[in-house]
Amino acid sequence: MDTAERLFVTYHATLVRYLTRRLGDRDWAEEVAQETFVRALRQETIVNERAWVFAVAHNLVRDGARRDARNRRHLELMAAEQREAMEPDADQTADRAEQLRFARQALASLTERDRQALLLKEEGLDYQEIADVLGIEKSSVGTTLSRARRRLAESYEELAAGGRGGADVAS
Amino acid sequence: MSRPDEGLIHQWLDGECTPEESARLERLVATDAEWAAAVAEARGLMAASSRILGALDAVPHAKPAGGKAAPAVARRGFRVAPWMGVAAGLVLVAGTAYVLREQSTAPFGVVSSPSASPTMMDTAAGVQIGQAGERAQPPSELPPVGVARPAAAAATVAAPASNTLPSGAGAAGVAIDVVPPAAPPPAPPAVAQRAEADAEARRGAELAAEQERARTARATRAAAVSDESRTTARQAPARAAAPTAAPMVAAPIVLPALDGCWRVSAPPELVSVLITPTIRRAAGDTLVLVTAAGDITVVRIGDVLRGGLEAKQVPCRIP
Repeated sequence: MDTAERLFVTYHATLVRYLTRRLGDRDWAEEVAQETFVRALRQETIVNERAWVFAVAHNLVRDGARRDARNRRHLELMAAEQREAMEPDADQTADRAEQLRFARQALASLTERDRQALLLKEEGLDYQEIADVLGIEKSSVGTTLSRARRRLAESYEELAAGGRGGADVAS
Repeated sequence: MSRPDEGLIHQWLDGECTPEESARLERLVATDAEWAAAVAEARGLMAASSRILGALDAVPHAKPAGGKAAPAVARRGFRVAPWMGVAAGLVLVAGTAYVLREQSTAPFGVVSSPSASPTMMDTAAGVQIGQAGERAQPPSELPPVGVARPAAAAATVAAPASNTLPSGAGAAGVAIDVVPPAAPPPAPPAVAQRAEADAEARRGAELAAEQERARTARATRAAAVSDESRTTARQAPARAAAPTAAPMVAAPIVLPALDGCWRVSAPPELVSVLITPTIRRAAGDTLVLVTAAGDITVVRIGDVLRGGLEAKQVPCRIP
């Protein structure tokens, strides 16, 4: 197994999950992940593989080259999900759609740094890696995460309380 | 006592503290109720945030306007070359032509459906149940429990046949019941005729051998057909006389795991249940049911069987 294949096997799933959670669009997430691994192929040496992979993906997302087209697509997706939430089908129940909507809204209520720190931690990155990706001090990661978790949970609970009251993921 | 530092608590719970810090925090939590409460709250927040983020994983693929989303993997990964589609089509057409040709030969007494071919029964995907070397009955010896089936349905069953399963994989196979079809099958398309012509020479010897096996099987069945198979055989004409099969809407039962041997029976409205008296666990654990209308239902373990199908465990004939 060469380096590229090993990197792909090791990080692809978790990177796509991270990007999907961040972007709310799995196709977009997979494209960013693919581009990340393409860049890894070009990279001669990578010191901290996981931090490098997530940092590149993080920067790619920030790249605004495709922003307009992607934003339109993202809006279409969100509109479709709203319709699905209103008209749940067999594949996605109303509760599940509602949970997804609340989770997305709760995540969106965080600051960009808090959101990224939380998503990166969920993918198993340690504090140093998160600090490297986000360009912050390691000592501030704990505070960032604690703030992000609290805000996420509180925001979700508020949304759930204001909604149907059924989706109680956070409880 | 200091006030709880939430960031430090999360750092500790995330396993990011040094051993000295961890020891200090453990002492604080053990001796200070405020710290203990803060830690408990932090644990709850961490669990809640993980669950909330987990809900984000249900994100669907983006859907183009008015269309169905194409899986991203399919778009970038495995691609089907045009020639593969053509080849698959030729295989399907050749199979159809073969089935139609089989129909004209009418190898069985009560059998005139294309599916009567023992080869087809032997190899149809999902029809075989069992493991190599554990064949309870050679497919050619299976009692006919037949039913009419339109040619299109027969082709659907036969299509995945031939090379998709290892030969001899059926431990106690599944037989397709056959009775005269309700309507004549459609004529094969021109491409099918060409494919048939190309393969005719190769199939000649094979057909002869199959017909010989069929004759042998009929002789065997005539001598040693079981009560059950006789019952089924008596039901076959009545089933065939029914103009249409009732829809599979009866109270559902759940197909049990196929460990051991099972006897599966079907109500009359399921014109055929293409199963031998006993079936054994196989790699696919798959049954194939065919209704009079030609609908094919593939059933796997845990699927809900409708239409009054019953599966009862029986002693295995083969250890």
